[in-house]
Amino acid sequence: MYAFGMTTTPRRSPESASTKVKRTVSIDPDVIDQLVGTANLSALVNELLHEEAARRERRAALAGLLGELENAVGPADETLVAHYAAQLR
Amino acid sequence: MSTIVFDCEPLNTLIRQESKLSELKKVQALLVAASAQDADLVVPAAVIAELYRGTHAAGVDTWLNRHRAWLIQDTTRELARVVGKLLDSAGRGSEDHVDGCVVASAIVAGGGTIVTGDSRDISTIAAGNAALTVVSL
Repeated sequence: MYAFGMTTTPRRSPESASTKVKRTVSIDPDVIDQLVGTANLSALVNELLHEEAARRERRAALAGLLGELENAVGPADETLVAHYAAQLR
Repeated sequence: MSTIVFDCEPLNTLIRQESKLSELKKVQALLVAASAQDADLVVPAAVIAELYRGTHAAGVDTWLNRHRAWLIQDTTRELARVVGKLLDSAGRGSEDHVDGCVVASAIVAGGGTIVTGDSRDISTIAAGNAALTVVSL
């Protein structure tokens, strides 16, 4: 495993360069081997973490919406859930 | 992780005040299934443009601001290229631009499920793409 300093920021904004924080992460060597030549690894990691943070926000928003729907129309019809689950890919 | 791309009708069902209970229960079940599979929910910007039509734009804004569960797929040059190719291949014109955006959004996501109120046009545009499944509510 490789360890290196990583900068992260809670959100991207003009002032974010001055608000970045340093963290240390460990990465599998085969991944690092594939990223040889990457000009700014911190920027890449920052971008990927932004995507993950946004994904988690969307998950939380979906959980909130499902809660509202349950309050409005009752619990989900399990037969329908199974019907749609079988069709999702 | 799977991707589910939404056409207008499922979102309209959620946003409209006067949606039928049976329609809401279908969308609810779909979202429960999507949540259980940790799916990414995507809506093309072109679909949101359709939602804004009519007199309830403010209600759409309020709803979208409150429920940020969807990743909005902008109409980028990359997406536009895919849309153009899809419509051309299907022999469709600009009137099917939104449907083209829905199918293209699923393609650029690497495949997935398209949820729509009327699968006929979407299925025609998506025809032959094995990475896509079209689900009609």
